[in-house]
Amino acid sequence: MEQEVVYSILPAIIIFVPILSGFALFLMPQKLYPYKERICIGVTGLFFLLVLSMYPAISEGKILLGLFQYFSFPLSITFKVDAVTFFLGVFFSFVWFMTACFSPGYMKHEHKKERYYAFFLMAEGGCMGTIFAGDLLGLFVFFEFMALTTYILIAHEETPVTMFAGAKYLYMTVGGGLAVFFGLLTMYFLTGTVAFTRPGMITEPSTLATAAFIGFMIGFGLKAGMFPLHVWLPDAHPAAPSPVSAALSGIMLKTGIYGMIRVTFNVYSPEFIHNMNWDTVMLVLAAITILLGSAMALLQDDLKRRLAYSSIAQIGYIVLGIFLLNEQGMAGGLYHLFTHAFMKGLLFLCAGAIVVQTGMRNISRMKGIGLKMPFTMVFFTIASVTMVGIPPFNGFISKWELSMASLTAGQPIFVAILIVSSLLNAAYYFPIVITAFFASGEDIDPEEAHAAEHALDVHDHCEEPGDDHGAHDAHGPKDRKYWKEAPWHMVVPMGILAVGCVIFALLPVNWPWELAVEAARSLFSM
Amino acid sequence: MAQIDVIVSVIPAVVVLIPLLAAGGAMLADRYRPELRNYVVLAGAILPFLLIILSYPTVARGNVLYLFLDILPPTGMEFRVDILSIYMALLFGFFSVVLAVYSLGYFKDKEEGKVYFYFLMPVISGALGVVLSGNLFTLFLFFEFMSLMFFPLVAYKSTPEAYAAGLKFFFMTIIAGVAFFWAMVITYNVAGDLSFGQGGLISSASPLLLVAFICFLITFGIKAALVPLHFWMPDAYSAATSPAAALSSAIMLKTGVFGLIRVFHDIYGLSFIQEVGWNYILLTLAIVSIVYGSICAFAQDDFNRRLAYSGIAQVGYMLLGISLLTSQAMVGTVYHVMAHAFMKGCMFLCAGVIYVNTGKVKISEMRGIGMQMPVTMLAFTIAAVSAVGIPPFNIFVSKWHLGLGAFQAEMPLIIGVLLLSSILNAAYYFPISINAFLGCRELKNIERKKLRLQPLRMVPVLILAIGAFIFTIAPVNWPLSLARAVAQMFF
Repeated sequence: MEQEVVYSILPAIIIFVPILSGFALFLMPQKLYPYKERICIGVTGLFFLLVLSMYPAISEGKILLGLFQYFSFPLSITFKVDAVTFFLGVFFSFVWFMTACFSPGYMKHEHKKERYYAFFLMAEGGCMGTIFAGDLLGLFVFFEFMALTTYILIAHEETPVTMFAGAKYLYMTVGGGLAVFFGLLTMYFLTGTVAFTRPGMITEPSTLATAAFIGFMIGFGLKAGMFPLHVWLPDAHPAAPSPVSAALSGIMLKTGIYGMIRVTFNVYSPEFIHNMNWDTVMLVLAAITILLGSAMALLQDDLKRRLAYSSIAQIGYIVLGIFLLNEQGMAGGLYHLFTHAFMKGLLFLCAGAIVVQTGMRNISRMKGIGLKMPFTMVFFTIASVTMVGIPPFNGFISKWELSMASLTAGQPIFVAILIVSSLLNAAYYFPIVITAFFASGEDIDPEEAHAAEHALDVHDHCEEPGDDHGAHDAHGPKDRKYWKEAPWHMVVPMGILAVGCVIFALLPVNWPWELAVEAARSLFSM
Repeated sequence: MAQIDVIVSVIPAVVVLIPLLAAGGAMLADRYRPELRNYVVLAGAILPFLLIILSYPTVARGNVLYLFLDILPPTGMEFRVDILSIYMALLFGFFSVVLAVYSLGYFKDKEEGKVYFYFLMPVISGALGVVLSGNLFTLFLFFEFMSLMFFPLVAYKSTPEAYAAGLKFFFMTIIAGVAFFWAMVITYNVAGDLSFGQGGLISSASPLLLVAFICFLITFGIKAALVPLHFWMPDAYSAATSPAAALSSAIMLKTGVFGLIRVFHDIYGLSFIQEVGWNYILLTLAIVSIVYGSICAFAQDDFNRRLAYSGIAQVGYMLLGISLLTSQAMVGTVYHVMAHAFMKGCMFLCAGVIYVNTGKVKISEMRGIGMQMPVTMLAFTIAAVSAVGIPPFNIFVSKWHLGLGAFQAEMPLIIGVLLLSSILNAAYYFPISINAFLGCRELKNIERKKLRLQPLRMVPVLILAIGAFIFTIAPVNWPLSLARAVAQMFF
């Protein structure tokens, strides 16, 4: 099936909307701050609409190609929108929009807000550029841009713990970038091009081809948080401000996945990868990632750390779906990508709301929080149920498809892994929900709780030196009686994401599912 | 290769002469009309640059500018401007303007700045002479002249350390001169000619020629800080003033690289070197340089010293590119000459701005300095990101071509060295930027008030920072096309 290629201006300029507005925000004088917040939200919203406006062309099966070529490093880069790109672009930009809407509430008491919003937009631009790039070089350029701008966001709070987590992220990600660079270079040497072709250009087995594949997988796997390169992730996610964690976990991890998809389908070809047995290696790693992530999540008491480990497990699902190398698995993987973006984004936003409203992050101390913050915890519950994969939520559909694909591929073992992981999901999410709604917190001695807070909470949100009580009050743990629901501008983005977790499965036409199937088909066709 | 038109022109000689005259002019002006001194210095830097720009179109069309002066037997003084010469001369001309402007800012209102300019201009003249020269003998002349004129700049601060570093540099220069002389004598004896542009003068190997080759390596290796001949450099850089260090890093180091390119391709010839395999000597040393420089840079707390060790690693890239003997690697080398000049020049100028405004030279003292001078540290950050080889920046391009060259030479493991060095670059540059801006929220004893900075100091810094990415994001990468033309000339 030959797809129609249309040259269009929109893909070529769309990426520069957030990046240039990010730079503009950065350079704008500080006293314009209140406008910066609104500009940030407005630009992310605009970006979502721009992506959405490409839907008519995509639904007709066209491929949109950027009108211009950019830059000249050694080669020019282009932009391209096809079914896969659009599928990822539209949902990711929506989650970015929601996290941007959530940010003002979360950042109310934070420092250097103007820097935060500028880099937030730049990171969005980098992330979306990774997806919209029409060749591997462009993908790499924006991948690196995203990696570096995200560092500023992760290290935003500038406490020693945060700085350490940020540094770990930074150096690992630079290393990952160099691994991708190696792959890219090898690809260019072997084929003389960095374009995405279908089937891929590398068809001859050779040592270099293997080395390039390893390079790509290290680079993209590291970004995705795949075992054994996940070590930065459990530190970075809790350290970042919650909206950033949501974007990081919900969206940016997926750029690694997207890179893997492109490498599998457009640099090599699925048949080639299958013949070389690389898929087996990746499947084993995916299985380990799933089990390890789930098991580690059980052990965490810090809510955001638990969510971070859970992300690792979920990434394993998606990698599994991709490397089953059949259309159904791909569709399942892509659909799970969307599902996870919504639910993990939502979970991190909930965690952010809890942190802002109560100043604490330890699950063991969240007794009765569901009664004080009903909306937040209801949304949290919805996301948890989605995560476990109970019908009719989105997570059910992706797990169903992944299981079916495993059976089709003749690998029933992965069904077992999925089931075990779902059980573990239930085991580490439901207790939070149960504690929140049904445990009474009145029997805790406040003094003791306060002491425990200081002993346990090394990752606490904003730990100030002991003598600095003035700053402490603004953000430190609050007494139970002051807990209250988050303001409406934080609840609404969470609510929208929560609806997104449920609504598509209930509608007669599951729009994301159609898109995912279409994207998977486009990858496997030709 | 197509017939090359040789055009006789006096421009190369004039280009070399102007900075020299400017040095004399500056002396006279300081004595009689002090208010004119700055203009003389600026004119001495800008005029050669303009002349080089004017002659660029002619050379870019494939012609060669040539001038023979029948002085200094046995070979005579010869200028010959081909595409490589014009590339280097453009770079040097540009940096001499930038550095002259920056030096004027750096030494503003300081009496001790006077003598600096008397030596700055001759170094520029010598460096331009090296790249414009048409035979080895002329190159030798300018090379020695440049090195000797740089010695006072090393010892400029007159502290015991500066004096020791200057002496070290001086003796290394003498060793380089002696080695060069010996190598030249042997070459002349065997080949009977020393002029460039004939694609190699030597056809058969002999032990004596190997000695000459090693002497060439010593000469240019000292200038390019090739391990194990690098030890003058960290001392010299930490002792010298920042503009002098930038001068050495952006201009003088590159004459060593340029000399080796000439030795490889114009004296010995590509086929000869390939046949005898002497390039592996340089290859090994270059790899050692890259790894050693990168690792040593970690241990330094002195800003200039860290930059110096990093420079050793970076020059290692260029020498690596020369010794791989492939066209892509040559593109990488020639491009890296430019990329490194912008990157390291910018860093040294930042170090200078920090020093003159706050007096800080230790990296550990620079926590939170981004609060005081955000623009400077932003420029430094751009240069640091460039050094790691992250895409829109110059060094990505040179690493890309060096990597392709390594593939061409069927030595893919070399890329591992490049990657290792890149990650080390990140590990020793990023903390400086990070500590400057972040993590100082609760530090009590740092200045947070922004400093007012001299525009004369800041404009060059910003120009170099912009240069780190302006060519690569332009629609046509102009230095890259020049570098490709150079590689085409040799391969």
